[in-house]
Amino acid sequence: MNLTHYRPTSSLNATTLVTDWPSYLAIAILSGTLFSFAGTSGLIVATLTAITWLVLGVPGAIAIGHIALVAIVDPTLTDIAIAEVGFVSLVLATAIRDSQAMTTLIATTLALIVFATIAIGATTIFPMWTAASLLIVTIAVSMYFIHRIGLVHLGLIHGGETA
Amino acid sequence: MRPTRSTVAVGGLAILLALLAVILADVYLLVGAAIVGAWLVGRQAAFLRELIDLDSDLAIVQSVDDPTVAPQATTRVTFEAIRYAGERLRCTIEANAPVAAQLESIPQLTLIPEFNEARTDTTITWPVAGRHRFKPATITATDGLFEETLSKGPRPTVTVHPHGRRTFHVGAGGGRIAGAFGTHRTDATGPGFETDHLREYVIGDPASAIDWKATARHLETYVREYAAETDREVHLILDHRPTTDIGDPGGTAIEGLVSIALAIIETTRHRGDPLGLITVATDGITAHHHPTANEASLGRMRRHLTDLTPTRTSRHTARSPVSAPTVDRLWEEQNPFTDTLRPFVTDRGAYRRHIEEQPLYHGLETTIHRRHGPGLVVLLTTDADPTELRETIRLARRHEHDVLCYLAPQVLFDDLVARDPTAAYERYVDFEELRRELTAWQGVTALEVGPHERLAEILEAGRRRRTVVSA
Repeated sequence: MNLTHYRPTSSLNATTLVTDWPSYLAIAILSGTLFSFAGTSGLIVATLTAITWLVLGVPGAIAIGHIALVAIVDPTLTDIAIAEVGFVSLVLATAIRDSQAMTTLIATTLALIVFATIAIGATTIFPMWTAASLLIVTIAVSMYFIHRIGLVHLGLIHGGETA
Repeated sequence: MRPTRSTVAVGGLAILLALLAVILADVYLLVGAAIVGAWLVGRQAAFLRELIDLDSDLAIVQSVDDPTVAPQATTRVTFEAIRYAGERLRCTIEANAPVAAQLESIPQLTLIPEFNEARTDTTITWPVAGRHRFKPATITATDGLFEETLSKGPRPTVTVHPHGRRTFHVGAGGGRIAGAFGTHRTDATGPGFETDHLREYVIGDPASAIDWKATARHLETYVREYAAETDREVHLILDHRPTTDIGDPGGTAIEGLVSIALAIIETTRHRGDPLGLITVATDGITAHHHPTANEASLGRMRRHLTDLTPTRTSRHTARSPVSAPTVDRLWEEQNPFTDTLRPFVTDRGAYRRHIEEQPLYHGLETTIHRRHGPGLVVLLTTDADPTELRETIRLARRHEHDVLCYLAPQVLFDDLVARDPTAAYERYVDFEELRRELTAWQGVTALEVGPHERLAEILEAGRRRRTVVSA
């Protein structure tokens, strides 16, 4: 049963537009970082990202931002490192205004470190398809792990079958 | 923790980025997939934290206004939810009424962010007799990305018992009484809640007993005494011999007596007094529950009473109430009459043995031997055997128990009033004399139990007779 039609952290909301200053700061940082190495093209990518963030929320903005950057700018490894500062700040900005800010920040940061390490590290050892598969599997396992922790905490595991 | 369609969409985005990374051989897109995945994991962790808080700080009330009802009766159910945490989640809370309950719609509450309280009342009809227990409420919580279902809340029980389809009159001499079974006081003072009196402080009194307001008023140190409260054992002795199997369906004597017994169990349960139950039939004791205030044991007593039916066989014979003293005096005389009769009477203990074999008497004797100190004996029986009744009450009084006697007069349950109203009234007068005789004894209260309408008919017959006589 789906109780709500949810638009992930979409900012097209009057209240949010006023109170969501961390996200606007993150968009500003993103624009700055992209402009620093790609100039006007970088600003176009930042504008696309900002619009997507307003309409679809953070995940959509991250996806569109990365695709646009590859399509328009063709960044180097150094450019990627600089650009990611902007995107990561956008992700962390949504965590700051969460009612469970500390939990969200810790979990997001840990996941970012692990997933980014796998994404970048695995591509240096394995072919791209293996690295991509490894990343997706890691994300899925992480989410299943949290799911199991939840079941234990909430007492929703009602004993196992005994031999 | 189930993902919603939004979560699937976000996961799809991460997979799409990973696929594009493979197709375009660009690690930057794979990093993008990693960031989307990290965002999703962060949201999931936040949802879990919120859910755990909600689980511990969500108060749910499921209560029924009347836990004991007759079939087809309705009860009002209050369903309320208040949360003190997990305020970001949207919660749908659904009551889980028993299968046997008939309700217009399932009570449902919705808590949305900024609305943390909800309440609804509904009416439930109970068509099926038995014990029906609610299940905990089902809570479905979601933040839009994930959702989880929890069970929480109290499980009230409604007992629908077949007895009591008709309301019974309980009273004395045709009049109703508000309540014969209530609180009890001791003459002693001690720890308690009800103020007994104020007195001046004497050395040795604890400082905590000082009533500072009274001390300030009187300029002397005063202490407040409280009425001591004690637990008094209550012994229910219920007769379900064939003599109680009289009356119209739904309004028989046994049903009236069982209704009262159930009400007494509820009262003692609220007061915390230990209660024992003995049921007696023709062949003796059919169940013996020792005095206890334990909730589970009281529940067993309730179930036993709910399932109780009158026994079918009877070997009961009543002996004349004046036989014992008369016979005793008879044997002291020496004359041809007694000389002739003496061989036919085995011994002078025959009457006593006969009484001791009577189920009601034997039932009380059994429980009296097991306890110490005066308590309250509640007899629930008919007026079919006044001799046994008197002797049973005497036994209770010998052990200094107070006696509360609920009597179902047989005349209130048979159809004599329809056939011969005058004869029915005379039988009722006989019963009333017995009841008054018993009530006149110290420490004994006797009350009548019967259908309202039959009693009204008999009293009306009496009024008519008096009118005719006076005319």
